[in-house]
Order: sequence, then structure tokens, then C-alpha cells
Amino acid sequence: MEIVRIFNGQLFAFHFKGEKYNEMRRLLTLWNDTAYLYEFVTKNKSDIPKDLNIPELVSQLIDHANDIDDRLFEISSNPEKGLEEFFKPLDNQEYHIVELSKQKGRKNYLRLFAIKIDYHCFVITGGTIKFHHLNKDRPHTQKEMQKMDRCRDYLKDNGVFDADSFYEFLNEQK
Amino acid sequence: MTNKDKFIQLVSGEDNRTLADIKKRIKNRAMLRESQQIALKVLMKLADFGWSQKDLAKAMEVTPQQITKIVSGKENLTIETQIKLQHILDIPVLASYYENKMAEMDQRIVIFEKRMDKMVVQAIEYSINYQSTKVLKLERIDY
Repeated sequence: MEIVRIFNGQLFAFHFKGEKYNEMRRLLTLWNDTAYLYEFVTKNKSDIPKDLNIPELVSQLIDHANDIDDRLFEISSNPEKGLEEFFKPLDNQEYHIVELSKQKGRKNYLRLFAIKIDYHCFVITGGTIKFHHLNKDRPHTQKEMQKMDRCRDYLKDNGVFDADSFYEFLNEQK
Repeated sequence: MTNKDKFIQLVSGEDNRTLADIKKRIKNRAMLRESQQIALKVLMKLADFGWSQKDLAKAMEVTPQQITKIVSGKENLTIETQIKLQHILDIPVLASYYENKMAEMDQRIVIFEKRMDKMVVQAIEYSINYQSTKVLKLERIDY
């Protein structure tokens, strides 16, 4: 795996071996691919909200992907904006500073997962379309959680981890 | 050395394409939205027909790769392609779809009206014939 810079020394992304694109480009490309979204929604039909049919949901997902494009472009082109506006802790109970904190950037069902390295500095590890309440409940979201752990371990193994200042909070270990 | 410094040392390079893709999508959004809506109609119709993308490629006389591009919703489709899709799958793509449907409907109404006219004429004729028969019968009774 390798890490590439996306913009302004603020946003980075993992590029996994065997993948054509880095994780951010891969996901945004998929989320703008109608055939991929149609197939994904059809495959996960049992998880989709009852009040939506397949074409409506595909259209919504495309709108949400457009929204993510807009938000990331705005942050990239405005020095006063930071990625903290987009990424929030994955653990909703995380109220303290956590080293290499797991983060999510979301728009409705779409999730971009990242690790926060520092203030205004994030590295994307993957992402998913999540219809179900809990990440661990579906194989595609479970896989992304495992990827995020692997990336975090990679960073730690390469010294991006200061043991003295690293606080593992109980709620993060849950 | 801070955590960020250590991290930056791990970064292997810059990927300008990701942001360039975003800019391109934003710039072409109106076209992409139309293309995505057409792709969605095509995918739904294929499911209805039980057709594969290869079947559509055959019907349209194009390569399967071209169909993959069409259903991805990322293509700036030519008018020729849109006409083919509309004609083969009977899906509304161009304004001409509704114009043609309206024209077809108008034609059906004209045909229906003509048939109705014919039926009315026939009914009158039958009625006249029937009355004539009655008159004849009455005439016979009179005799």
C-alpha cells in the first residue's frame, strides 16, 4: 500500500496494491457510476428504505455523491476551510482527542472513512454505501472497518504514532 | 519530529487526477445528470426485458464496451445513440419520444373516429333497414 497526496497537504489517500485508483478516486468514481449504483442497490434491496424504489434511490445516491464532490472541492479551494467540516469521529461517543482517530465523512448513505493525522490533515482509507444502522452488520461495511484498522496499523508500524501522547480511550476500544 | 512530519515522509507522491476528476464532474454536471438518467432508464428496461448488456449491444449493432459506457452514465451520448436507445428499448430519451407518441395517439384517435363514423353510418343504415322491414310488415298486415 502507498499514500498519495490529494490536495493542499490536507487530504491524502491510501492506494492499495492491485487497485487502479487511490481509495478516494476509486469511491467517487464508483459513486458516479450509474450501473454500479444500480447493481449495488439491487443486490442490497432488502436494506433499502421502504419509502424508496430502486431508481429513486440510485438518483439520490448520485445527488449525494455530487454533494461530496462540491464539499471537497470547496474545502480544497478555500484556505479558510478545513476538512474538520467534513470529517467527524467514527465513534459518535468520541469526545476526547484520540491519536490517529478513525473518522467518517458522510452524506446520507455515503461514507468516506479516514484517519486523522493532525489538525487539517486526514488520510482516506476507504468508504462504503451504508443503508444499515451498524457498520459491522454488513460484509461490505465490515470490510471497510478492517481496512481502516490495517491502515492505522501501517501508520503505527511506520512510526506515525507517538506513544507518549497517544491516549486510548475506553470508548474507542468498544 | 511531529506525527504529521512522520506521516509526510510516508507519502509517495501527488495524485492530481482525483481533484481534476471532481472539477470535471462539477463542470459537466448538467450533461452527466442527463446521461445518468438515461443510463438508469436503460438498466431498468434491460431488467424488464430480461436482456443482458450484450443483447442490447447486438440490437444496437455496437460493441459491448460501448454499452458499458452508456450504462455507466458518464458518456456524452450522441443524438444517434439516443435515437437508437429510444427506438430499440421504447424509452423516453428525446423530446421526439413524446411528440411521436402524441402523433401516434392522434392517428389512433383519427382511426377510432373514422371507425365510429362508419359504425354510426352502419347503425343508421341498419335502423333504416329495420324500419323499412317494419313498414313492409305493417304494409303486409294492412293487406
